Amino acid sequence: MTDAAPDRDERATSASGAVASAAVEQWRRAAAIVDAALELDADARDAHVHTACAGDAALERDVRRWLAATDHPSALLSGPAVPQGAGPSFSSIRGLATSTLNPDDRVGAWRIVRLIGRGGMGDVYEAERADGAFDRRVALKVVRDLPGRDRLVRRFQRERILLAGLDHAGIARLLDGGVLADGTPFYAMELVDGEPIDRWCDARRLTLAARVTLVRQLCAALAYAHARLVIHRDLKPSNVLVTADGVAKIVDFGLATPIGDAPDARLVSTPLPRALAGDLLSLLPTLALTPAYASPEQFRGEATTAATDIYSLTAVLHALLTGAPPHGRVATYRDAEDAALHRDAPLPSAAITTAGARAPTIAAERGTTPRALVSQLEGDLDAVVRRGLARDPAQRYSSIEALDRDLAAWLDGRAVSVRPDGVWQRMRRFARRHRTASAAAVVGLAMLVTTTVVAVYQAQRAATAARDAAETNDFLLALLELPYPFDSGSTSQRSLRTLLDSARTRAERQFAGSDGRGSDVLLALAKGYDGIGDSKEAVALARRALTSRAAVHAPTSDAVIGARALLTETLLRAGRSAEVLPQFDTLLTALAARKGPRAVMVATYRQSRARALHSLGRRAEATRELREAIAILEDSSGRALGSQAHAWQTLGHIARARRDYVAAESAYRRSLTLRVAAGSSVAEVANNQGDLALALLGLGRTEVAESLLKQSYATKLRVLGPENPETGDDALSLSHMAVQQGRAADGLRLFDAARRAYGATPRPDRALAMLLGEAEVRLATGDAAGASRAADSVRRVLVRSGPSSATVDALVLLARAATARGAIREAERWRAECKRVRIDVMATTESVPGECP
Amino acid sequence: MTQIEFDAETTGEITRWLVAWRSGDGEAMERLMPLVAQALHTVASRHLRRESDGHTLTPTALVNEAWLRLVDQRQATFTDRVHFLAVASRVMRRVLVDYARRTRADKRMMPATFPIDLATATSDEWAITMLAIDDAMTGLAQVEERLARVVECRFFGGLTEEETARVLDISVRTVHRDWLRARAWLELALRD
Repeated sequence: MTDAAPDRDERATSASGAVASAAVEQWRRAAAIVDAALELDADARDAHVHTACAGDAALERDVRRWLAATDHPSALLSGPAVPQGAGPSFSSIRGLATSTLNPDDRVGAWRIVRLIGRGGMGDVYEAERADGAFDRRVALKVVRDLPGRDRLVRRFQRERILLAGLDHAGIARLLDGGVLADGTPFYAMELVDGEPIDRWCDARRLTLAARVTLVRQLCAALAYAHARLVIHRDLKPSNVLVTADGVAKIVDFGLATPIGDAPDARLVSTPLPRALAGDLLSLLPTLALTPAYASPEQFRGEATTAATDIYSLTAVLHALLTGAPPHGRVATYRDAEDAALHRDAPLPSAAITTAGARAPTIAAERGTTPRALVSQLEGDLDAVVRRGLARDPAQRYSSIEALDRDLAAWLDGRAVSVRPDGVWQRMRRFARRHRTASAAAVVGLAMLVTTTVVAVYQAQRAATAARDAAETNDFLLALLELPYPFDSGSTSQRSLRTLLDSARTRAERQFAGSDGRGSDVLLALAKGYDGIGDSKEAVALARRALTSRAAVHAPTSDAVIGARALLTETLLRAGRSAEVLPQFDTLLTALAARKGPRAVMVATYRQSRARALHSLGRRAEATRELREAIAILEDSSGRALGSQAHAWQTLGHIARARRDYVAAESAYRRSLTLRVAAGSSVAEVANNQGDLALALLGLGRTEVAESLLKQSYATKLRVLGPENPETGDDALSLSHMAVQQGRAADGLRLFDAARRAYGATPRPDRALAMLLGEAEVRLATGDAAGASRAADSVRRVLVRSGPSSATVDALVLLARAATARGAIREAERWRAECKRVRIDVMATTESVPGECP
Repeated sequence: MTQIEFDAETTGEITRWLVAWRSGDGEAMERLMPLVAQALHTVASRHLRRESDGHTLTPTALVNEAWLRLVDQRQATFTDRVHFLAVASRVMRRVLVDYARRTRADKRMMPATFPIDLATATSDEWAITMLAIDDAMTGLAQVEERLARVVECRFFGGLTEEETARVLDISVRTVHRDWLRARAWLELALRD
């Protein structure tokens, strides 16, 4: 071998050299033969290649391909590298030139020491405090001019309070951040002197146990961050640096750009050096620049959630266990995307089994043999990785802690938690979690289960609240807009709550004792709590805001009226109908005393007031109020169609509670027409269709009802997707219909769809509705004992909130389940209680619950 | 023709760093890169302003002009020019790849095959190919650093075989063979 040899020793000192050494060796052999052949004429060349390859057929094939390509150079690389034709010009150089900082340049409070590296996102410098106030050096990243940068800047500014708050040994701390005069964002973070985790492990030939222990460090850091609402979004080995003393530190927290606009993700290309010799070059670790650690939801462009980090961390774990990311060293962005979206990653043990010639090297780097490595991986570690890499975020570990517990269990030789998906176990967990559901949830449930699919767009309300809040106050902008990464995930409510709680704590500190200013924040927070379904907190905050404003503003002022209006809304949703009525009276009086056009506003509030009357069972009054409201709204020259639609919908609910399905049908149809005219969202229209369907069901027009509901379901599947709770509402109703019609298998399937749509932590009312659905489905499929358990947990939750139609439903199911179990006496007891509660319900709410058996 | 004049401070600093490089300062390359990038930008934008003369601005022309304008020719040695060419080639690579990246960043889909003729490629195809080459070169540098350097000089820097040979301190013959090998390999890699 010729001039390729000298730098071999240098290569061997690199930690990753060992991984690639076989491939590099093969490359060198091919390269040397090609190089020598180029000095020969065609005939001599052939003989040379044949001799030099010495019967290694794969090598010879590579060499010949390579040589053939030198013979017939295409135009590629023949012309100048400059872009031709339209567009490109050298003015683009400016981006590079101006964003390059020199030593001693000042960036905010920092002085540049030297350039450490460049990436697609920007340049990284070593820097120090210019005023010497801080003697540690930092890594200062300057985000270069790249598409999506503005978004990145906005997000960064929003998150930096939280990012800067991350203080954990396993996280490179964010110290500062800002924007240069020309708009270039930068941030300074703890400078970590370490090596990427995969190389660190391989260089030290760490055993699996040592690697898993290291990953547990990452779990601790991530759990810490997740608890503070920060997700990393771009975990990969190069973002985890291990210091000489073995401390793993995660860098670049929360700073990744979404895949879609991240040039550093190397969307483009990474051409496939597979060209030569099967896996020859695909072995080279540096060539795997594709987003091999990105989750399916990131490829789909969906919101990133805590589950995203769980996926990527598991992918890192996979790489540490097997020497390659889950789908191997995928060569292009498209391959990576395709694999992540459509294929389950091979299990770690299988990855070793199929590693072929590389297996001994991989095993050796883990201080073992291929066979022993496979047997270590098989079973528990395979199961852990499979769970962590589930393509559906909802199917992954519910939290980093859960993953960590399993890793700890594996290290201790205990059984891991991962088992085939337990539908019913998860249901049970919902039930447990939501036993303390608020009264509002119960009201929602009663409507949801026994009468209608209530259009409570709570998720949307939360988002709107966040937006409103953003407009209200910069302080909240930073905090309230933040939870979006968790929106689509299973942790939605929990994280929103954590966020709101911390925002409230801050608000209380910041605005303690002040009035006017603080009330905006209180109202925004009230909306936030309302959005996550915590009406109790929402009411309390709205009340405080009102009190604070009433102290400085006139009762007829916009400020007071606005606060009171929100209070009525939150009270309504909290089901505190009795309390809300006086508030409406005050509100309407204040409006009456005001000058200027107010008819529409008055009518809108009267329409809302009617909802309170309806839930108090004062249906006659409610109906009157609604009719008058509708008359005013209709007079308002076509405005307020949405309010009109709402009013008609409430009229429909009232009629249905009376079991007057004819009137209900007509009201719902009216509402539907108005919604369409008002240009309401497709989802709202679909929802209205659902109401209509249930009215038709009451009329015995089962087929039409079902087809309408299916239509609504299909719309929601399309518009909102299968994982949206709204979609789940329809699935649950359809499941109910199927069971009623004796199609137990369909019922189960639809129920399952609803369960998936609701996710791991459904809103309390939905969780309860689902438990009733569970009871029903279990009964239909022959599991009477399970049905009893499910129905009883509903009953026990409802007992606290006073009787409702849903209580009757639960009791009906309890009685039927007991009968099915042959527990005659128990069945008798439930029947008796059912009748008692039913009368109670009719007496106190004037609504007509289902019949007792 | 407009005369491009760099201020004395810039030319002085570049010359200083080239001299420093001559005396073995390892940092010199790093220090020079931003300066050279800025200079290339200036030269290029001057050209753009008189684009009507219809010439394609090639890396060769750009680099050579920058050399002439930038460096105090009275003080510069032959070695300095070689060093300058090395820096300029690397800068050109970075500039072009950055440009390609910006061009491509908002487009997610890749065409099934790479365009092969850069001279007639659309700007989009050009950008895709440029990024593909850059990535492939990163891999190439891992196995045979010298090949990547040859591509950098010949393709990105527009240097001649002779200039490349001097920059890399190898024979012209070796540059020739390396260039053939590298180009063939890149083609195979990109064609896959």
